[in-house]
Amino acid sequence: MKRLNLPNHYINKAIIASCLLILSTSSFSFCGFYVSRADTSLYNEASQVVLAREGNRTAITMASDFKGDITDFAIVIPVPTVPKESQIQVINKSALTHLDNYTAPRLVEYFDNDPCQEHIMYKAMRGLPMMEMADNSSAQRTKSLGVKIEAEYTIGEYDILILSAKKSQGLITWLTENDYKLPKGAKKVVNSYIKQDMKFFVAKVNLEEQSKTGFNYLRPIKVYYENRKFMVPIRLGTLNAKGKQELFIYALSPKGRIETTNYRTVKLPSNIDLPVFVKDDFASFYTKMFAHQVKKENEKGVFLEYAWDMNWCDPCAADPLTDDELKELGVFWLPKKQTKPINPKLMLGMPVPKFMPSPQKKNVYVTRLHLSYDSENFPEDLFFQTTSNRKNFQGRYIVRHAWTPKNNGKTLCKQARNYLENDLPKRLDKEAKNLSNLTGEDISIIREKIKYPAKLPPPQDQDEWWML
Amino acid sequence: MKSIDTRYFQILILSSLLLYGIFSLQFSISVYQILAVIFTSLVIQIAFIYTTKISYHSLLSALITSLSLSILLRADELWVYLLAAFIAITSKFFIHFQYKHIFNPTALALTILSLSGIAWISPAQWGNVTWFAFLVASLGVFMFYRIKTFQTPLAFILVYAGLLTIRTIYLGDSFAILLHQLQGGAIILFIFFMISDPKTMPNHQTARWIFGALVAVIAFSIQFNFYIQSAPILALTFCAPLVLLLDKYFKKHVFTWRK
Repeated sequence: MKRLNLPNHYINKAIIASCLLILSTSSFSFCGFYVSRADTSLYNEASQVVLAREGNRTAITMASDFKGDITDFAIVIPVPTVPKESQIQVINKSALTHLDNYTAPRLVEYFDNDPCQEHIMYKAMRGLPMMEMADNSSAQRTKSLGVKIEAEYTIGEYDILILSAKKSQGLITWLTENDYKLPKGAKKVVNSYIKQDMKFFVAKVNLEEQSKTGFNYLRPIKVYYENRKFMVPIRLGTLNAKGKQELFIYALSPKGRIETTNYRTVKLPSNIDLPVFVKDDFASFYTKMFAHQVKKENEKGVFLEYAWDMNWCDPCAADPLTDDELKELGVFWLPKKQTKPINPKLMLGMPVPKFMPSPQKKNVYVTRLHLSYDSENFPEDLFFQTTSNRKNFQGRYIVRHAWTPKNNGKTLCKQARNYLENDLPKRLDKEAKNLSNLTGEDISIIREKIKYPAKLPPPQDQDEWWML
Repeated sequence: MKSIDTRYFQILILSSLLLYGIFSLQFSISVYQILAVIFTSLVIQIAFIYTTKISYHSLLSALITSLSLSILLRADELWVYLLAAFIAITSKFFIHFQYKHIFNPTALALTILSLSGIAWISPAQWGNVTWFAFLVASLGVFMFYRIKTFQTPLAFILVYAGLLTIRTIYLGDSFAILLHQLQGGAIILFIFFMISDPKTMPNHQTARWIFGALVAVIAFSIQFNFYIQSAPILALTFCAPLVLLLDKYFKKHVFTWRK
């Protein structure tokens, strides 16, 4: 792994260069002003999984946005090993929310200059509300039916059991007797996991403990384990489904990008100029675009939404996570020293990212994957590999505000006239086409929503070169 | 028609696949990286042609190796690709026994670089349509030209698919999973362009069956013990030295490309 330890002016250049690589459509040399983001709150029943992995050591954090009565909440998750009590923790939702926000696809904006003057205005806005999440459960225990309770813990608001079983029928009977409602077809899948020597992590909410927490939602559960399997079991989830389910995976690694090895990992289209009206409803644009891209990949793709070095961002949909937050999310390889943000005053010229690679940079690379899955298109669990790919990628969409002339365009320089009559309409049309390509929407409907510049009055004499 | 060297067709298939991969499937390799692999491979091959007086036709093999590497190998840095080409081509000339090179050059470079962690193989970057088209094209060329060397790849397919089927039945999984595991461009490339290479397979027919089956068993074990999806490639490299033993016990003449 390379470590950057450069003077600030070099760092500044490095970042500009990295933006240029991905920014073919932009005439600016920085990554734009952050406007809004498409975080997981866009989806009603999204599950989120954080995987922090180095070698065979893994911390997995799971959260689902269960919205029903917490007494109904129960989870059954196949796990490769029996974790000790200290290997299971309940974590604060805020760290996960922060990670969601930091990695979310983002909308940025630019303002066109007055073509007659080199004068630039910028504006930044904050975006969508934070994600909402709530989960629930309760737990009991009883006799075994060839089922062995390998461990039993109450951790945070959860009563947790780790079960192993010889036969799927015994386990299913046991779970049913204990109010774990298993979907149809579960027996087959449970049987397959048992034969693969997987254990079952089952949890319900302990109401007494839950009331002590003071939270009206369920916190994410984190489990540490050591195993060669680098996977996320999704097969039980596919049985549950009322249609497709949304899953977000955030993989944290000291090495580089994570990709699925048994499904195609696809980069979402990014760095694309869109009509300005997208800014009014970025969330709806994003969900439409995602659905369209899923279709284009024959419903089988795992989409890359973000892949970045955790030390910085540009533009930032949220600040990078602190060491404490990363540790909360299971990153176990961090040194004790804290990373400090660089004083922005040290940077010359144009606005620069808030956080820059610093000499004490933390060795964490984050990958955000998003998939919409069902049993038909995702028959097998998700398997991953860590790669040494450290190329940064972000889902980034751009809106450019047109320059508007004063005095209704009565006095215009040549450049401004050219801008309003030629360049701008061409650009607006290109943006409409981009949007139509991304979302599959009808281009004529998109064109209706675009504000094209008004027709200009004929040029006046003072525009001519001989008029002083 | 039969007088045309098979390798021209292989080059055509691989380069179409590579171009399609770059433009449609987001293969994360740059044109510079591909050119670097091809250039390095050819330069080293030419150097060996001069020193060992072998035929210029061997440049075709070097080109196939560099295309296969470009399709399967992924790395951030350019030098990794250069190293891959270097390992692949030089291995043919330095690690050989009785006019046969021991390792499949592509598989050896992929194995060394992916296990060392400086590069990786992306086995799942293929769409369904590509997979099928690639299968048909490869199978067509194979049936027409390489049918005489079918034993090793066929033994591999039968044993590997057989083991996966037994596992599926044992686990009670649906056959959708089996089908999913068997679909994939990487496995097709492996079967038609690596394990079917007559230069690195045993000389005797019986030995070829044994070798293919052995690679399948090792690949299966690696895949389900270490959870590495590109297990067949590693298995081929690990099993390659056994060809020497098999050749010792089963004697027959050595395959040569047309002079």
